Amino acid sequence: MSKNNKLKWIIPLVAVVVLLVIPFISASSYVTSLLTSICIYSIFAISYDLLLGYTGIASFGHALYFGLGAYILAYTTVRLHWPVVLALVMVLVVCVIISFVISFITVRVKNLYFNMVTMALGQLFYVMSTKYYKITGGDDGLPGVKPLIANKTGFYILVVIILAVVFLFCHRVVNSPAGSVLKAIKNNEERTGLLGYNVLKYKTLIIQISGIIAGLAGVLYVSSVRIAYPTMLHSSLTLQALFMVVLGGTGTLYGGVIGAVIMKIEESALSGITTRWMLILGIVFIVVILFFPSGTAGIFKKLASRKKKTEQPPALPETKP
Amino acid sequence: MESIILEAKNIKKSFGGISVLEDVNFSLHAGEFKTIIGPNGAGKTTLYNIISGVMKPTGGQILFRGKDITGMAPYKITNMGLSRSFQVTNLFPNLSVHENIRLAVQAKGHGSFNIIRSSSSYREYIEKAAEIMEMVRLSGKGDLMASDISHVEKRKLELGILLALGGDVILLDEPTAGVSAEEVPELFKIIEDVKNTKEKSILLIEHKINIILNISDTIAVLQNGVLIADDTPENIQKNERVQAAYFGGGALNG
Repeated sequence: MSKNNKLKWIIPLVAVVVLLVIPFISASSYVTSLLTSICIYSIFAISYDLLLGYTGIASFGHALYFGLGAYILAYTTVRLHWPVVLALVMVLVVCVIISFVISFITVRVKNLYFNMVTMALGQLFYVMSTKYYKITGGDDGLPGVKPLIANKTGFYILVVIILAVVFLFCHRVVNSPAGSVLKAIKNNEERTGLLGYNVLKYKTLIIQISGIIAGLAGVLYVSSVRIAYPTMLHSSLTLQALFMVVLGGTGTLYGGVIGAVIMKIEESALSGITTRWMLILGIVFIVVILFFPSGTAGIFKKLASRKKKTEQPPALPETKP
Repeated sequence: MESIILEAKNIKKSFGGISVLEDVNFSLHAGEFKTIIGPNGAGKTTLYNIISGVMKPTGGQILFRGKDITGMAPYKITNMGLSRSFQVTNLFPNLSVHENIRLAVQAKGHGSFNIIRSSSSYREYIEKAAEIMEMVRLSGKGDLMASDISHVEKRKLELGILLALGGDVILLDEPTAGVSAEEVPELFKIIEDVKNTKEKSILLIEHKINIILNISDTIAVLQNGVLIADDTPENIQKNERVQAAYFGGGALNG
């Protein structure tokens, strides 16, 4: 392993250690809940990056899995009094089935049509959650969810560990042979098929993986806010994930984390000052799109490559004949 | 000549009311090198699109090793051992040269669906990719992005991808398109190397007449969607219909 490769692991490792230490330094429960929320959104954003950044497909209905995870955990534990483990298995099973059905329908259409169909299916579940009052509690939601770990710091540490595991897992996925195929699909879908890859199979695979991770994020979120409500299924949540990934840098995994940090800190800092904090985020988004199309991660990469260039030995002087 | 490996039977294709191919028949024998020539718009690339499964013909059949592959999904045809290149460079621009080739090598091998093992641990794919890169004279360029290499290198990469797929039949669509005259012989050297391995049956679309007269076993001439001749280079040169249609009646000296 080269020095550069080792270095690559130091930053995330330090980040995890810092995240784990913070609640013991700052006793503020506000900081802990902000960090919990950042980590959960990071997981959601990472799952979105698998689709947008690595496979080049923009789902507008990704909140569906987040909401499913949240509602299933809430319904099975609050209404049916299932043990948590069984509820989690149920979340997994439903996410696998629903993501399979949805990918079966959606991978057959491309580009804008894919966006529209995923959005329609996502919004269908949102509307259902507001209408099927008996199951979902309608607009009132499903309150009374017990957190996975009662202790706030304990729960936060669980979330950090899950974030680290998800990151590591996704890192393996995108660097695996199947991950190479996904990048190929993003680059040139037609040619990928002509190499002999069944593109639909790979798209289905990644939609399922990404759906399961998003469902996990939903489980953690409902467990931290203790109520499942319809907005968790709404396309605006999908747009938040899109926003985070683009802000942080697509196709990097850590870009989603950076995006979540920027967005959640901005939200918590600005929402106290003005109710129009979304407006400011919008301006930031436009600036990023215009000037840093590869996101915050792109700025780092650019700096790194500039440094590399200056470190290179000067070119040999041309020999004159 | 050995047995027929690829056969087109009465291939017809029309877009709306415009007929592009009319009853095209030809066969490619195992180990044969056949070049298809014809003026622009003769339907050469359309024929390739039909053989490779990108388009469905309006009528007729494509037989590969005696099996009907007409209208089959492109990836299935590739997996059966028939692969094609493109006239317009069709690569994975944001992947490295090495990755472009490794993806093609991996397509035939096992473990493509593996999501946990690192792709750098598949030594056999990496070695095979290095071998192919040497064959197409791209050694040392492996780490460059496919979008960053020169045009002639992109054409070499296109050839490399095709070879990496390991098919028995390869369809080359103007491999020297857009390449400067000085660089053409280098590309043809690679194609000749491939021919000399005697492992592949090759179908080539090309305009550089003096080169193809030397390299081809047979030459087929397509004009306005009709295959007007399919013969050895010597006979094609003598064929009056070909001279009238394609060479404007002039002598065929290139």
